[in-house]
Amino acid sequence: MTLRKLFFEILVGLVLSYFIIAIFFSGDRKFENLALGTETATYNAVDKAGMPFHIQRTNKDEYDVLVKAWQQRGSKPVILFLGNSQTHSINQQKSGEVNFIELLNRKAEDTPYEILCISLPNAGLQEFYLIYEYWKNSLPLKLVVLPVFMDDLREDGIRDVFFSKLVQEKFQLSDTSNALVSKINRELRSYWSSNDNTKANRDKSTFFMKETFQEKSEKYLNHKLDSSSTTWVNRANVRGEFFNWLYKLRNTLLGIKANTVRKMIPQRFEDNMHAVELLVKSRATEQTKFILYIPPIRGDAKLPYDLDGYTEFKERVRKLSAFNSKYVFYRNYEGIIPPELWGYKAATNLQSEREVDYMHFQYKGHQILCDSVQVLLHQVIYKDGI
Amino acid sequence: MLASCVFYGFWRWEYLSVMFISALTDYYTAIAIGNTPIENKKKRNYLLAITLIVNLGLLCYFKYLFFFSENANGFFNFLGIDYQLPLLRILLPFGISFYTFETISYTVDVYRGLIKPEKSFLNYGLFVTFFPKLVAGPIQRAAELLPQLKERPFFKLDYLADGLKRILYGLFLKVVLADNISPFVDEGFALSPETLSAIDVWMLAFMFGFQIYFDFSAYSHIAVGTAKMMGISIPENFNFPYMASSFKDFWKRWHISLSSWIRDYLYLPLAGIKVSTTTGSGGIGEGLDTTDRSAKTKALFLTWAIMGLWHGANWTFVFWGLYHALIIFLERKLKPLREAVPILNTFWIGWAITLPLAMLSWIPFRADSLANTFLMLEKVISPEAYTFYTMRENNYIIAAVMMIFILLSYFANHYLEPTLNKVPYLSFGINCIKFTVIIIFVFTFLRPISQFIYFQF
Repeated sequence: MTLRKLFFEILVGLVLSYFIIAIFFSGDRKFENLALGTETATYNAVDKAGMPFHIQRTNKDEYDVLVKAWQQRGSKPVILFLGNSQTHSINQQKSGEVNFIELLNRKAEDTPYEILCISLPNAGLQEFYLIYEYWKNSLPLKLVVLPVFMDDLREDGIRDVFFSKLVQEKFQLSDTSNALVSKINRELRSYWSSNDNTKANRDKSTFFMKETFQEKSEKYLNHKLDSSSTTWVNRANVRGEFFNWLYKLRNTLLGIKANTVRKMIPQRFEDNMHAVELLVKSRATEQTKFILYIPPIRGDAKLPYDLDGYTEFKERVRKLSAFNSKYVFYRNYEGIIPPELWGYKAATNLQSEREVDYMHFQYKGHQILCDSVQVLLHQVIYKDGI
Repeated sequence: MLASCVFYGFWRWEYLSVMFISALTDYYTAIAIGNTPIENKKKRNYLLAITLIVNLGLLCYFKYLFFFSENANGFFNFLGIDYQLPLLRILLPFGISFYTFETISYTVDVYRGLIKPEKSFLNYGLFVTFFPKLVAGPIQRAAELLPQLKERPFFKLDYLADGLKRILYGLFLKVVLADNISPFVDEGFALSPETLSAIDVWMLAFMFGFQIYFDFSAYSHIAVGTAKMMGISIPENFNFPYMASSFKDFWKRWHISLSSWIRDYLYLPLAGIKVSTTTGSGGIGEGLDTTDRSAKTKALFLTWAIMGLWHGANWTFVFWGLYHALIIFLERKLKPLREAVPILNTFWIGWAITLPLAMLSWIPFRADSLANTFLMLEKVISPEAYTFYTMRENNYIIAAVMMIFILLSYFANHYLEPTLNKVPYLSFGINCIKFTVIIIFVFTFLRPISQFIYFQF
């Protein structure tokens, strides 16, 4: 009797879950909207032919297309902009509005340079370091422009999803005497699938399945379901929504809001600053100059930082550039975007509908940032020619 | 048996031959032992030796050859001998540690006179290859599984329901919990141990402890459930191990089929105790109290070192085993103190001491090397390493939430469920909701991310 009851409980569970899945997993779902909020759209700069100046991942498809497009445009020396979601997002975007990278490229048409960009959501400065070290091998980088966000100093490590080309090529940094470089190399290695039964690989464990019938059949089934069922495909977005809900629940329970002061994690802060230090101290030369800038931040609301810490952080970035002032330039753009050009984003807790957005601004903000950077580019590189 | 072979062949069919070498050896030697009078001890010992050499030989070749060669080369270097053994990387056949232990236990049980040899190779082969437990256990005893397989029960709705429930539980633990904890653990262990704080090390120990528990108990749930759907009962492998009040208790609750195996075929014989029953239940905990002989201390450390090595060819696993042996040894030595101070003998005090120590033991289990293990453990005893943390706050929150989840499920299982079952309509409603939620979560999170951790052991 008890087990019969159990059978009906499972049966009811199956029927109910079928209907819930059919209702909630259908339709067009975009997790991106959750991350940025519905007011902010993603935009990657392109040329007149629609070929990219700007990508968000160093994977084979995107990177190779970018390099090919750069070659087709004449293989000009490159000004590389690194960035996070501020670079690739436009608040309340209207038709025809583009980001500051595309605006800068329009202005660079008469110069011997081309502006390329990679911007990663929640980018870490260790990731910027890795991008520079990899990209310099195939592109003539004459100037690297690096926004140093206080927020990004809380990030750590390398995310394989943004560096799949490097993982596939088993790329390793060469300066292995440096502890941070070794750490980055170790992390890259941890993503390699290999045939050796080391302990690290054992825990990844999928290498045991390589080329087996099981792996092939799983791939086949996944592919079939991906191509035939929207419900199946939408699971990724539902997962995203679930994690977003968990994130909001955490914030609600702990009273965290967009303007709650974010504590710095000392080790991460130091590792990220060290990544910048490695760039400006040993990589900045006559051939490759660097610009470090403090990015724009919303000024009409209480900053989500410890103010003393923020001041100290800006001073540290300035001092880093001063160490090699001949080839490294510093600007502080934190206050250049007026309050009315900032927007709101979806709330980060379950209580309110929306919150002030400290990171993403409107098209006019992109124009202002473009003009400011253009002045600096002229001073640093355009005036000298190659 | 055919279905089990197809199941295994989905991985690599050529490795079926390894399993059949082991199975055929034990099938024939067990029959030969059974046909040899007990008085002819020499011949029986000789036949048993054949079994052990073939099975352990296969295990050593596939699992330990690289480890032994690597260590031998290090030793040669140390002695200044200019000779190096070739380092061969050999793919470890899935489940070899599990089916090897099953075939050995079968022959030893026949040798001990606890069971009669199976005459039908079809039945015996099915015992070895039975797919629900083939790749990662629970490790079966012939005395418990063979009679059920021979009986071949008919399909029953009750079996189906009970089996489905266990499979759903297992899928939830694997795809929703273990697979989502895994990135946090991987991220933490990829960091240089020098940069970690003591708080990080504790958090990583707990997180990996949760991951491996959810992962392995998930497989066991699925194995028990799949067998149950066919009307076959296989012993439980876990019983809320993180609610243990001592290490002895822990080993009655964690990987019970392995610790029972170790009890009957290693620890008790090494401690000089005659084994008179064979069962995959109970764990090693009870066995630890069966003798007062001084031999048991040696047996304890040797047993756990071997238990560690069974998990993997790395000194970190040996260290993990010895860590457990040391704490059990200390528990024994401190027994008079616990008896003198009654509060120390309470469940909650025992649990509060056992849980962190058990979690800490996962550090060598997961760390890449002994050097990293020591660096991480050193942090735990350094007061200055408690003044900062290096990872995102989410990691610590998730560890705390998982601990609460385990406590809640323990109390729900032991107290809430029996009470609810007294009100059938209420329990029906709640269980319907529970299964709905589990199915939706499993559907949402099912992804080919990682294999079960114990597939590699």
